Amino acid sequence: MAKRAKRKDLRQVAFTRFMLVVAAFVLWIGGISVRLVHLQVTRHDDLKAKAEGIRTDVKKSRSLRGTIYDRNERALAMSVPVKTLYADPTEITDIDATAKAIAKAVKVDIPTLKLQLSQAKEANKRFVAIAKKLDGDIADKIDHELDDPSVRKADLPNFTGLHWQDEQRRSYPNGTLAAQVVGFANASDDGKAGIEMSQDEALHGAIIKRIEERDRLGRVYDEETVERDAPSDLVTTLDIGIQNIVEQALADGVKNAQAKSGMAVALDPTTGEILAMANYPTFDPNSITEDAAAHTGDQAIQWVYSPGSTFKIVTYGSALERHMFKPTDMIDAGNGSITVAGHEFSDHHTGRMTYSEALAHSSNICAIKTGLAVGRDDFWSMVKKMGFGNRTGVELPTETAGIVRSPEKWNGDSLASMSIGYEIGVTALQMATAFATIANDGIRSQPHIIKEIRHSDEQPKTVTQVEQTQVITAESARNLRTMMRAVVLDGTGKRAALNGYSVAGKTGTAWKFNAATKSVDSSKYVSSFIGMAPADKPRIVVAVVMDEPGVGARDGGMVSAPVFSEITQKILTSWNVAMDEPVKPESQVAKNIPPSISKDTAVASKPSTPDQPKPDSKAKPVLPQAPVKNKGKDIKKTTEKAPVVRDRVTATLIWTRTKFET
Amino acid sequence: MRQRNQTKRSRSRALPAILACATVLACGFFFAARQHFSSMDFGMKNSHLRKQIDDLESEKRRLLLAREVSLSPAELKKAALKAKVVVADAVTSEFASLTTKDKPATSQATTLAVKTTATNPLITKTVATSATIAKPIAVSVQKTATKVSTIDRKFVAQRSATE
Repeated sequence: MAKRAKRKDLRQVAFTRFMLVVAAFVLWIGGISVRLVHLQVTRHDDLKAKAEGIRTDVKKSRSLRGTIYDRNERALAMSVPVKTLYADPTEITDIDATAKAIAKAVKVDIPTLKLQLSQAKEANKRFVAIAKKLDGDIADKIDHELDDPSVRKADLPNFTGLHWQDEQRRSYPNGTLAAQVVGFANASDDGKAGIEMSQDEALHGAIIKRIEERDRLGRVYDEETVERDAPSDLVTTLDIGIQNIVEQALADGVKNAQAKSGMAVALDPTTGEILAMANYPTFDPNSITEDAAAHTGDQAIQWVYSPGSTFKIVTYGSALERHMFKPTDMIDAGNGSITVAGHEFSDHHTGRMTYSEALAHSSNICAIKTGLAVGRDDFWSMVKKMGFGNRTGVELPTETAGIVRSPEKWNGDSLASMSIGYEIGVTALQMATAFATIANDGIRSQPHIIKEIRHSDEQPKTVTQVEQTQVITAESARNLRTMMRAVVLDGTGKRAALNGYSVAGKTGTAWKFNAATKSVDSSKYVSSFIGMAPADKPRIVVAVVMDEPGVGARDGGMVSAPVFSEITQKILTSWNVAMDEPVKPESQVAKNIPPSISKDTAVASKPSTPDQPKPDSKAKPVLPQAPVKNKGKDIKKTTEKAPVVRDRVTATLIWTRTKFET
Repeated sequence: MRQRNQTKRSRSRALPAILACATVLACGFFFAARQHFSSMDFGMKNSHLRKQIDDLESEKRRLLLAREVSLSPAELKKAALKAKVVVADAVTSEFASLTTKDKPATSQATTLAVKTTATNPLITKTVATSATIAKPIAVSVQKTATKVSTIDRKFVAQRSATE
């Protein structure tokens, strides 16, 4: 009995012990379960984020800005990846040691760096830039210098608290070449001028989001890249070679004439492609300084000037369209004077001459008579058809439309003034386009500078479609070319002649309007020459405009025509265009090279002579009536009171009541 | 006794099956682990290769930029000025070939030019022509030799840039 009771007790004890173990086990499991529920349910989001933070590394960077090419795939602007070394002061414990180590690798001032790091640490800032935009090889050297074996870090440099930030640097390999056209982008990758600005949307680098997953040693074992709208590359119509020729010739021309500035445009008349667009002075987009800021604007599309005699092609063009004359027909310049609406226009060309001769010698009287015969409506129609008063639509920013007043705002003598290129404001590109229209048998091709836009691989490239309009008949265009041929052969544009090629073109000289005195300034000129070659089948149109030539005979034929000649000769030769004229011997070729103007020559040939009108009154602007002649000879002048200046446009155009000879 | 034997027999039959299942399971785990670590390894290699591609692309861009800079007209001009002798020779030969090639046409051109000038009355009417023709030509003729060589040197540099 006692034995049985003892066995029963043992079983009971065993059972109790077993149950205790089970209970402990249940409690243990329960505890774990509760903890698991707490971790996975209550603290799910928090812990997940923490885990992802440790394991996942999200890097955001901007994809490289698109490249701008010339027509031969030569880069005009391109971006390269660079790195910026920065410190995260919150991770740094020993600022002194860190500053010393950094100063050893990167040449920085230790006390300044210490101060920067200390202040940033106090302010809990996590970014202190140490060395900005370094090239890859320099970054590698710094990594090597800063390598600390005791530190285990996922990224480089292997130094506590230091990191690299991926950035990009915009480079312009050709420096000043086409600087105003290409423009520049700032440090934030935003286009600020030129094509960089107008095509910023296409060029702009999208944000790349890169998600990297790392193991406990910081090694990346999985990554995902998210990129939206990859930037596009642009192919322009510019040709670096031609651009260089144009810029060199323009720079030489501006220096020789001691002009304030100059601009030149080279166009393919058939396609409307801008082969070169140059401005002088220029700037280097790789290093924008305060001084350079004054030259960043593209004057060829932004600067409005009075075209003077180059505008006579519109006058004669509209008359030819109405079949009013043939180039060989005669016109009478009379005694070299004509009065329109009480305003006397005069120049020194008198008597009868052919229309070709009238254009060749730039007779103002003949041009005014032709303009008056054409009539206000037809003349206005031609002005508009040629594209004046409207933006050309070239893909460049801040293009101006010029200043063209509608006929209802014209004065009595406005038609006469416009016939000789006054009371109108144009840009160099507008004038070049008008000449290109004549070169292209009357078909106006819209000038453009973007040839194609290359998107990412998935999308097809966008090719610029040229808009072409027949503005004047092919016959009128041919006649105009014949007339302009005489300008270079026998007229005011002799210095534009080429060796082996025929040239058609027109000179233009105009006095500038002085906004301060609200009158023309007889000492300041805009001298231009716009032409095409070969004359019969033009391959290129070049416009050269000089602002305020300072010395020598400052008319377009003397200042701009030689620049045109130098540019066009080189371009046509480099293109191997078949010569349509006999090649002249060396001695004759030399005649076309502009002479270096010595100081003596400059003084002798200065057009401002004592008997030249001097606009000096603010209230009563003096309006010179005399033709401006080379070397200051044969200058006739009359002065009269100008009408009261009503508004700014009128003020700008008031000096159009002048008569010039080019 | 019989029951015990039967149990033993059934256990001996089940044991290989259990072992087989365990083996398969272990193999499965082993395989999965191997796949996992292999995947991670490939991921790392992939990441490394991507970084290499990025680095190489960066380097390629840098080299392209360096090429463009060295082919820019300004740099070519500098190089041409350094190699003065070579450029001068090139200019001379090019100029010589031009003049030789164009010689037959020259005399005709001169005649034509003279004819036009003589027969056209407009020349005498134009102030621009009459007043300026003498002096500028004399100046430019004096300067011909230097001017032409300067221009052609630029031109040769330009052509090589284009090519």
